Amino acid sequence: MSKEILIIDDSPSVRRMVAMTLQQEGYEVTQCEDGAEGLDTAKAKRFDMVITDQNMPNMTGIEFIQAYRNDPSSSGVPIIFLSTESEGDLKSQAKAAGALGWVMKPFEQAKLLAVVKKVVG
Amino acid sequence: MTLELVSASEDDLKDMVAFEMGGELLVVPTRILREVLEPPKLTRVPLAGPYSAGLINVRGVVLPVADLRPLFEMEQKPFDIDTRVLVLELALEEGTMTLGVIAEKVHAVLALDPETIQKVPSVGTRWPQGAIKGIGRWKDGFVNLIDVERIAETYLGAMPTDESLG
Amino acid sequence: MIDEETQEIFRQETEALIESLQECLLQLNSTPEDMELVTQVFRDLHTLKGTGAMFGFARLAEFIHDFEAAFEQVRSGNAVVTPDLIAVSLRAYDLIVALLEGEDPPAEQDAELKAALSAVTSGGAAPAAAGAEVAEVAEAEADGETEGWKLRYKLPPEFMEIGGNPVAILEELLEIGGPETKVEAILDGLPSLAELKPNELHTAWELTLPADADEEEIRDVFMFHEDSMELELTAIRAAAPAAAEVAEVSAEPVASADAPAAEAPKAEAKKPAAKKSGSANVQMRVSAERLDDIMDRVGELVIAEARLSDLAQKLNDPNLTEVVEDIRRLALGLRDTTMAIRLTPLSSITGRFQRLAHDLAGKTGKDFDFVIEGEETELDKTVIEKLSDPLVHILRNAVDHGLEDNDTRVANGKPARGTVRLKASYSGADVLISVQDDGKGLDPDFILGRAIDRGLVSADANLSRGEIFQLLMAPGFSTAEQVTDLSGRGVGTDVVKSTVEALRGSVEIESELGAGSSFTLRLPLTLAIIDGLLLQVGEERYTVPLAAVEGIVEEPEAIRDGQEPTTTVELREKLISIMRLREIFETGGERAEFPKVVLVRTGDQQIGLAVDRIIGSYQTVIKQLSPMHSRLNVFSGATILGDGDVALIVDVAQLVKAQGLDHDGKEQAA
Repeated sequence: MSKEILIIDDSPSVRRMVAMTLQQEGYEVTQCEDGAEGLDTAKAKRFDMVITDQNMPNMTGIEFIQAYRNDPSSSGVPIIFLSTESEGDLKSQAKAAGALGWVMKPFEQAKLLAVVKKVVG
Repeated sequence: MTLELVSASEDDLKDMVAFEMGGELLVVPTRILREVLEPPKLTRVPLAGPYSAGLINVRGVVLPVADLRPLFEMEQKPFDIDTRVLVLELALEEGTMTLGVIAEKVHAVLALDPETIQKVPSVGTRWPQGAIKGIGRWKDGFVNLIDVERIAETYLGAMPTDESLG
Repeated sequence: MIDEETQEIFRQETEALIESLQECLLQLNSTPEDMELVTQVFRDLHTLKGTGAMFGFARLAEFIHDFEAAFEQVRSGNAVVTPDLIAVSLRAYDLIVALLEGEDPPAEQDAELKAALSAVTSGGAAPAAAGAEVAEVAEAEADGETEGWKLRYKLPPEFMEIGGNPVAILEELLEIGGPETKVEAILDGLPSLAELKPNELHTAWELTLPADADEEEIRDVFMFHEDSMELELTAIRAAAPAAAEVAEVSAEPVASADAPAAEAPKAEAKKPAAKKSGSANVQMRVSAERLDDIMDRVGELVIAEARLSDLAQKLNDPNLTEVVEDIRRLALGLRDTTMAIRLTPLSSITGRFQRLAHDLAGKTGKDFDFVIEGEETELDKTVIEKLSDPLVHILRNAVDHGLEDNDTRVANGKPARGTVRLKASYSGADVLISVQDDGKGLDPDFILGRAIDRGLVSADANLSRGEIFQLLMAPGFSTAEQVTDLSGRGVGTDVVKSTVEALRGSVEIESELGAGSSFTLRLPLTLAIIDGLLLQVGEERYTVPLAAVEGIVEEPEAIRDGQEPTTTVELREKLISIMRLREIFETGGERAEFPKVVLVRTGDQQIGLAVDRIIGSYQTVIKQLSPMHSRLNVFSGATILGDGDVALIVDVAQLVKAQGLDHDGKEQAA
């Protein structure tokens, strides 16, 4: 069974790029465009991994992580945080909120894939 | 040399549908024939000229129907039990066009012998310029290979022109 | 690796972002205190930077980094928005646009603009938040002579809870170290059985890895956790036990609040995610063909629904009626949503007009207010895109030729500051977009004189005011004298007319000498489904857009027996031109005993259509006519009625034109 990954990013192009990269490797990808939608989706169904951007309308990535980790269903679900380099301080906030790791933007598709493989196999 | 005009469609000759109008037998390749309809209710299009028979509804799609009889200077007899509409798919320069053509009676599908096809004399026929690709023999009579694409572009206004009716 | 469609989505996304950016910058010019705008600018820049970098626009990302920093200064209260900042920002915006379009402007521009941005935001050094990166790079480089590595690590207790897999970590280390690796689990941190939670991790591990294991690779295994775990990686030296060589990272769990706290206000300020950005973000690209497909199906659904309603009415079963009602509601909802997909508000392009107005004010030295009204008016997206150039041209003309300079205005008793208004609204089945100025207005005598000089009309032509203004848009009317730096380039006024006419629209010009002019583009709503009024003429049925219908009256007896295609009659104390559809369409058939006149609006005219019977209003799904019939402009399409028959949709404006009843159509109708 292929692993299911949730990607939350308000940028359609980045979202699509991530989705296509992962789909090519056989992952199943669900896309959400902000934290609020992501939270509903993640709570409704257990994913093998969640990738979230930080800067989004309605609910930021860190707010999403906090809210999701408050829900028992998130137990054991790895979250990878997407961050741009000027937001270095946010990495630690994301970790404190319960992210497993992060990927810095801009990232190469190969890099993202390596991280995903490392986390979900 | 007789085949110059039709050589590109030699395969077509083996598979033609014949229909009758004004006492003449006309043929078109079955390749372009989509279906044959009982005469449906036609909606006349005012101001559209003599070659337009109107519009029909084919399963939710509105199709134009042409009446080629005025073009061939044939008498327009009213619809009767044999009248049909041939739905043809034409490959025009501007893209594909689906067109209905009125037929007074539809005959068999037939194969023509390429050897029998002859060019149409350029004068002294009822056929307007470019409307006929050639004339073939079938049984004891003649069949006329009509060039529906050419007719659509030249006479039915399927080619963009500057003239505007109105 | 990035396919075309993703590139296209990227293009659309950045287009929306830069449009929003420009709009915010221009608005900030008039309301410099508006912090929400500042935040929006910051957000737009930030997203542009991040996304741009992802798509290989490194120079763009680098430049925006400084641009963003300037606005960070404003956001944090260290600088304020000044006209200078806006001016520099607009130039920076231009550079961004150029870079996004793949141009390669000279690199000095970046530096110059960065310096200017930094200077106008209090000349202070733009801070680059580089601290984090530095920390990441801070890795001790241990050199040679290693016999192996001793690794001791303890993952954070919540490691499994947050989705980590300790076994995977071990496997990864074993892969790096190879078969020589020794592993030992250290269980002394384990709580008593009673306190043990199954999801918490308390085991530590000690590994001995061979010398050829790469230090960086080992550290990479823990890259996400280095600061929240215990990690000791020691090189085993051949010689002395060199304690100094120990590269140790033993950080507190991240919970220690001091590091993030300093930056907290930044994160806080980023949060108020303005709802507004919705316009910039959520875009999906769908091929027009697929949309048309959906529209066709919805159209068929609407038709099927009409038949179902007919049937239900006949059967008169309350249960059936209830379901039919539901289906009706759903079908209509679906129709509205589907149609809305194609529509875009005018606001999607007004940003560039604001910018243009701003630039024009600078270049001409004319002070004026640029007012936009009815931005929310929606048009088909393809139509909006085509209108952009004509509107730019008209706007330029309005400022360049319409508005007087400030002194002249004052001398003529007008307020020094002029006003240019871009206004959009619905009018019946049309959308009107007008550009009005309160400038010097058009002089009909002057225009007529010039048109005669240029041989566009004969000297004895008897033209109405409206007809004379239309001459402005005749090809060959514009003259060299008129070509200035501002309005001389781009499309000519004749192109405005042809563009609008290609969209089945028209351009109306009104002007009062000394008081101003207005150019109005009138465009039909190009919707695939309209509310139509079904009419009967003889045995035939025709549809007109209900939105154009203003009334229905009994046909006055005075004209009932007439045979001419058009006539005039006094109705409601007004003279009205009547078009007899029976005569124009040559329908024949029996005349109704009490024929009707449908009053329709087209342009600024009311016209009567004489018909036999009014059948009623219907959902009309517009089917395009084939090339065989589409050149007959008087029909805008056909539709399928509830009984399956086809009915033609009358394009009233075109019919009026064809009959020569429109204001400026006298010549061409002859």
